[in-house]
Amino acid sequence: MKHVAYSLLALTISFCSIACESTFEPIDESKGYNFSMYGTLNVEADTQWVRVMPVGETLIPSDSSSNGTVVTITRVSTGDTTVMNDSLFVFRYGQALAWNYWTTEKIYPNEVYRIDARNPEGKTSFAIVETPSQLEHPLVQYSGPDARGIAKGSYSKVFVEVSVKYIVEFPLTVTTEKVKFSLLNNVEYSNEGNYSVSIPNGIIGISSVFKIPESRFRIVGSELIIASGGKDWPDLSNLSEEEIFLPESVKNVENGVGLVAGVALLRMPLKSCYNDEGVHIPCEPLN
Amino acid sequence: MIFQKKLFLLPLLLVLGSTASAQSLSIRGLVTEKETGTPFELVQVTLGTTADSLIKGTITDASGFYEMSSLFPGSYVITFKYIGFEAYSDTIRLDVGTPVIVKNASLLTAEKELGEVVVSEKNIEKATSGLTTIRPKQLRRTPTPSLAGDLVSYLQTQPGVAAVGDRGGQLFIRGGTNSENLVLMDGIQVYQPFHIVGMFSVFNENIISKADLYAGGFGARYNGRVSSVLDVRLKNGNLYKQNWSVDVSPFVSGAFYEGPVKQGASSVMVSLRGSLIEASSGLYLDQQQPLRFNSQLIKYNSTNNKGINCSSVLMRTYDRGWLDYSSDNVFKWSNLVGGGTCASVLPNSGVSYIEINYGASSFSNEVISDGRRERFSDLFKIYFDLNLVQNVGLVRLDYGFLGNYVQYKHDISELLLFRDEAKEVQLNSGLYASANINPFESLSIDAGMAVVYFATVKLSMEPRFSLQWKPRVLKGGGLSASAGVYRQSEVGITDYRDAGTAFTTWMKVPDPDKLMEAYHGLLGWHQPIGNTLNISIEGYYKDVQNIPVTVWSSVPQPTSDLTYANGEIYGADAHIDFNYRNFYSNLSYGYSWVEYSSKQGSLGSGFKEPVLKYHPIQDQRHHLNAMAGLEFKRFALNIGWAYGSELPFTKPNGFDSFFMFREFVPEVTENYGSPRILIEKPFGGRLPSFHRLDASVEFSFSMFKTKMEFQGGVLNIYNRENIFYYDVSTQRKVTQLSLLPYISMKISSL
Repeated sequence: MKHVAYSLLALTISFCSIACESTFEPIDESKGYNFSMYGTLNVEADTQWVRVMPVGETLIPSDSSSNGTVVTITRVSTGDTTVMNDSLFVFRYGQALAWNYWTTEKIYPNEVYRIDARNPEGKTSFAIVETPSQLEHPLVQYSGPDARGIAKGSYSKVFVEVSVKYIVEFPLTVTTEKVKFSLLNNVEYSNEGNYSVSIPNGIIGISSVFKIPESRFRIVGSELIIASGGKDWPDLSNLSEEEIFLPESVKNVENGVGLVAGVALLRMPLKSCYNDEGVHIPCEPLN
Repeated sequence: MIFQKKLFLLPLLLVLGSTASAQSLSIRGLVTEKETGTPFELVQVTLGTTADSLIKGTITDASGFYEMSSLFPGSYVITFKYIGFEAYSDTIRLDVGTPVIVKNASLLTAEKELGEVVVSEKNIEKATSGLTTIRPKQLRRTPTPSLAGDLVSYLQTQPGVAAVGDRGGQLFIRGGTNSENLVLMDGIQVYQPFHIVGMFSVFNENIISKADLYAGGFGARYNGRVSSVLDVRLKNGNLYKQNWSVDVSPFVSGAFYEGPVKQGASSVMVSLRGSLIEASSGLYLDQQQPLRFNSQLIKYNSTNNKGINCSSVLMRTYDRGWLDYSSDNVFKWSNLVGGGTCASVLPNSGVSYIEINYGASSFSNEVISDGRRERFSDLFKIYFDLNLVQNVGLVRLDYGFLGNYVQYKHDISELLLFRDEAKEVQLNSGLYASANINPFESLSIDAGMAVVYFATVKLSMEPRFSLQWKPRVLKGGGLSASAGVYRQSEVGITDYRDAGTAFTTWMKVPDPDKLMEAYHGLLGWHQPIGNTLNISIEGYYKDVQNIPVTVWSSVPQPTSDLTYANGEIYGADAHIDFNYRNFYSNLSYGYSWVEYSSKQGSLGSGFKEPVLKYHPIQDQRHHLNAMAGLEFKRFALNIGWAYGSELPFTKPNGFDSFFMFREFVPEVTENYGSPRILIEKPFGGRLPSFHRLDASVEFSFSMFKTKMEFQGGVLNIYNRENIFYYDVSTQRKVTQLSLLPYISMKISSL
């Protein structure tokens, strides 16, 4: 009986000796993702914005430090390199922070640029971006009240975005929201190289999005957006949403994830369709 | 298919041929425990000219039924024996005027030594492959903080049985998920009998007579599940004497009563259990355990002088709690089941034994978030089955009919994300037949077929086969094998991307042409060595098809999108039991390998593989368990160590905010983007291994016509930080119970 008791005691002690803390590494760093980079280089814009964030260890990072990340943009044909400026953005009512990098350097059409991100430890990611040709400004013909008007012009490449963006004011809550509607599928392309697209007045769409009647909001601003992409603009037509979300599916960032693409994007403010008393009226024809 | 039809015809032909051999004399009957009327399995029944001579012998089956046929007219002494019970003998006379004699018997408990009984049972049992029979006395051997040993604690010591952690009540048996396991209580299906605290279930040692765990290869009588069967038989209340007990521990308290309603003819048994851990953890643990459960069970049993035994049972369970104490999600589930069973031996009939089961089972589970019912899934099932036994010459036939009707209702819509709610019904009916043949004394073969008609789905033909071979040269040891086809028409979907979940959506199979399906093959060997040592080893292979799983996505939100996976499961379990006088011990090891293959819609191409292969959450490769115990006078010492190798989890490569270049050019100054988990494959990582040492000491004495028992013990003696799960979305590590001392007490009638 004593032997049994001693054996049990010895067993207990040996078990205790393996009571070490478990080492647990929840993140797999073997893929070598250093930075996440998203954004565009827009040949039509004065300022370029690119999101550059270290690939995080948390789903929504709350660290307000940029960790010393330096982002540069280089025009490959000349070798001219510019350090982009950092800017901390706050989203989701302060719960999410993001670092966007900007520059006012001129971005030329049909050029190749390289964007590099580097942290003090030497970890780097980069993206090669090719810009498209510039866009021709469309002609907007106003009408109303059912349709806002028609945008027309000539094209050399199918657009990647045609949309109308509204700034909506809610008098009851004294708040404003921005809402965008894509018109991409409504664009009619002619064989002669012309296109036209009808611009909705936005009332029905906004009512549907916010689930409120027309009387409870007013459109205080609107703009038409037309954009064409560069050669590296992704073709998502054969990918499911789940596939698009995969880190390796849609990317041009080396040693990282994300996509920075060249774009020619025009924004054209649309005229107001409200009178001085705030009543919706037929939009004044331009011509 | 032609083979399947021929196999099914075999038992029917044998039934038709039964009239030819029905002229021989036979004796049959039911053996029960005298005190409770509970059917008594494995009783040795011998027939001779004197009590010591032997002309013929058999043992009772799981229903306590026996039959001996091909007998000649004359006077015989029939004797019923079981170690630990008083032997019973009687003289009977067989004559041609009464070709069938019914002789029922009840055995009275004698003073016995526990260890001897267990070893003897193992020597008598047929060692059916895949089957582990668990007796109530074994339950106390697992050190748990309660003086009413629990079935689920014991199950987790079995090789091939894996649990995600000590919360949630989810068990994986030989690669099958919780929803692929059939749990029966006196023939009534219970969808979730395991409590939210993983050491407890509704089945405690006070109320069960035995539990058969079929980890695979089960016979034609069981249907509707593709992985395993846990067939729990409740004991009956005492027909002659009132017994009661009350137990309390920091985790759980319980009360038990049994007693006669009509002396010797009918009885009632009541069991109540309720958790205390929510309140007690706040008093002496560093972290409150917000977990609550309770259960109530009442069983009524009656027997008449014609040998008809009937019982009815009503049970309710309730569970509520947080699996991750810092999250908003509260899991709740409840069972309400009721039903009855009647069994009798039939005289003057080709059918020897009849058993009828009927009842209803209702199950509801839900997730509550911020006080709002976020998701729920309810079901209601009514069922009926008829089971018959017929002996035709040397062939025993088991056959019967079953029918059930199920209503499902769920709403798992995510607010503003997607809608998914449904109500549906399913009607199933079926037949089964199984023939047992013993061509040699050492060989027993079972061949059967279940034919189930899933009214809204399709007909399923499921052949089953098993054999046991015990050649004399192995001195009590033997080989066993089984194989079968299994199909399942209802599915329980659990989004195992988040291991910290206990929510299951029950529904019909989404595609009527795709019943869940499994092919089992098992081969085992067991060997008793003397009266002290038992060794067994068993290998298994399961090919599973059409398992609905949630579509994999790197978007951190729940999904109701389903796809199908096929799986390959194989492994082996080994057991060594050593019992000597008052010392008992066992060492068990289980190896398991589970791999699913899934097209995952179009996702497979995104992973650059046409078919996505992964190891699901239940793929625990190694499971080692060591238990030992010693009973010395009024003391009992139990110690148990469990090891489980690393469970799969989805290991991310990191996180970012994602922009979709579709229809709109990203505006990084206006939008944050969509939070994204960077993953390569589901379940690509492994959590650290689990191991834990538990021990308890019990002390008992008698006082004022009562028995007092005290227990002191410690869970997780060396305070191992075992990870329950890792929340990929929040990067939070949720751990299991840390070092936890406890004291329990029980008072019971003598």
